[in-house]
Amino acid sequence: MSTATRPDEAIAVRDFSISYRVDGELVPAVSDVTFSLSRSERLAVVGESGSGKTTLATAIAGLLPHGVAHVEYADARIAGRDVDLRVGHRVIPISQLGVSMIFQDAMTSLDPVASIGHQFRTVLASGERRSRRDVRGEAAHWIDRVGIPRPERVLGLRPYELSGGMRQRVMIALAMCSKPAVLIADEPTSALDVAVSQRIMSLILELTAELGTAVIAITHDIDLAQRYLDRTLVLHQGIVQDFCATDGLSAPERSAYTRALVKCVPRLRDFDRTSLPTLAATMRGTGMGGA
Amino acid sequence: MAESFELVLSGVRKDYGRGSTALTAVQPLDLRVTEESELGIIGESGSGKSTLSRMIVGLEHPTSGEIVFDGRSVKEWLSTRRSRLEFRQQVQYVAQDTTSFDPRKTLGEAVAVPLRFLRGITDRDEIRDRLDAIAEELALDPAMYERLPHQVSGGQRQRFALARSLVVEPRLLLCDEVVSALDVSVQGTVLNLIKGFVQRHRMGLMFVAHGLPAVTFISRELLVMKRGEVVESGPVRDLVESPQHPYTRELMNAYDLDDGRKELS
Repeated sequence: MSTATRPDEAIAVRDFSISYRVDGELVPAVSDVTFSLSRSERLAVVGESGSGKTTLATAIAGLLPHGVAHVEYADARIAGRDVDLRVGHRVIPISQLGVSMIFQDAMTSLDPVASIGHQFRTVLASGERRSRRDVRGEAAHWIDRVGIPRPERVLGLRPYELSGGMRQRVMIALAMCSKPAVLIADEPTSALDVAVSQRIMSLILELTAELGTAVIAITHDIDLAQRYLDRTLVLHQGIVQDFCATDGLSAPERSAYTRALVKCVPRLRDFDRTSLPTLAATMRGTGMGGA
Repeated sequence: MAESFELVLSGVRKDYGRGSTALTAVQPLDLRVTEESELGIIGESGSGKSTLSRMIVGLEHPTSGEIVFDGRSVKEWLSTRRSRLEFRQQVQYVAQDTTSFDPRKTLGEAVAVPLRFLRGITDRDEIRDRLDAIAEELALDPAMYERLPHQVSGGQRQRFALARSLVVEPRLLLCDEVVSALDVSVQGTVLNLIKGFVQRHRMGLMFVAHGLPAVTFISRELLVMKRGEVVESGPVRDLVESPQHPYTRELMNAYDLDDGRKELS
């Protein structure tokens, strides 16, 4: 049964659960996640390694491999349309699902042997007949839009001919050119230093705000969430600990786990400390046991 | 307690390539590091911070200038097998990439290798004792020595990489991005272990990272690099409280969210 759809809703999932098939048995990876985002809203999904955050994102993007995973939910809507995200059931191509995904390492999501122009053609011309010239013009527009000079020249290049920063920008352009309702960014800046990371995040936020795209950023970096994202969903062992406004992450009503996680973020002015708070010690301090 | 030492870099410069395609990764640099140094090196990708640390351990060679450790140049230390092993025992390097473990060898075997080669310890009981001692210091479960590298988490593997370096009791430890890939929940643990160990054993520490808060916690002095050049250096507190160079200011501002965050009650 569907709940009422808000007119500006970008994505809504209810009781979304994912299990992996291990030795013939289903092992739960993510249990009963419920959230909704309106257009241009920005969500951080944070948690430790193994908390299920990437599994959740991959399932929403419809990219979980067939035969390995099992997805169940009460509701799943993207841009107001009910979508079928059950593994192996999806009938519409990913570019028309309304979800784009970018990854930490641009090299793994770009085709290493195809030219950048060809990769744009795959996205822009999927499902409709368009002239090469038209597609080329739009691709050049997107490359220009992400701040790469001489876009026409870039269309003829292959990923290995671009610098790391340019690849990252091309990946963002490719993800945004289909004007998705939701952009999922999996650890978008983990490998980058702070100055480059700021530029990349600003670019992502600028483009998504312009197109009214909701952002779901998967990250272990709470600092990133606090700096750029409106709401945060905290996952621990596949279970939602909190779903709240990011600036309220350390409020007393938050779960002990969330507050401990926030407390563990190293701060710039920690130079006088003899030791940093650790998750296990902080959890013990709250009487919640080790993590 | 490690013995005192002195590492001196004079006019050290590194170029990659030649002629019109040459790229200067490290601009001429002078630096002095001793057993009392807790030096953080911060900078963006391509700023030359990793090249600098790789030159100190002899994995790269300077194009010009000289690196001298205890009165002998690194080049000289590396010239014979015997002195090379001696140098490796005294200066240890831990990198971000923990794939340097042999996937077919247990972690115990991996940590024992430097004990055999660099300390010449072959007695099995003594090796066992030393492995147990380092496990205790780094809060590792000695039972995990029986496991293969892929059977432990990334954070644990990083601690075994530290154990492998620290078990030979070096005088200088160079850490290159050792916590960048770790979850925030594990980062604190690893940083506490490094800081505690270095201070207990009075070892020199050089800590290279792009994440500023980790560096400001673990170091007392800071070197800020940009495009191969040291743009600012000094005590951590001074650089955090009153950065002079625009780049240092940009870095500090990017992280200085502390006032906006609510502390836990």
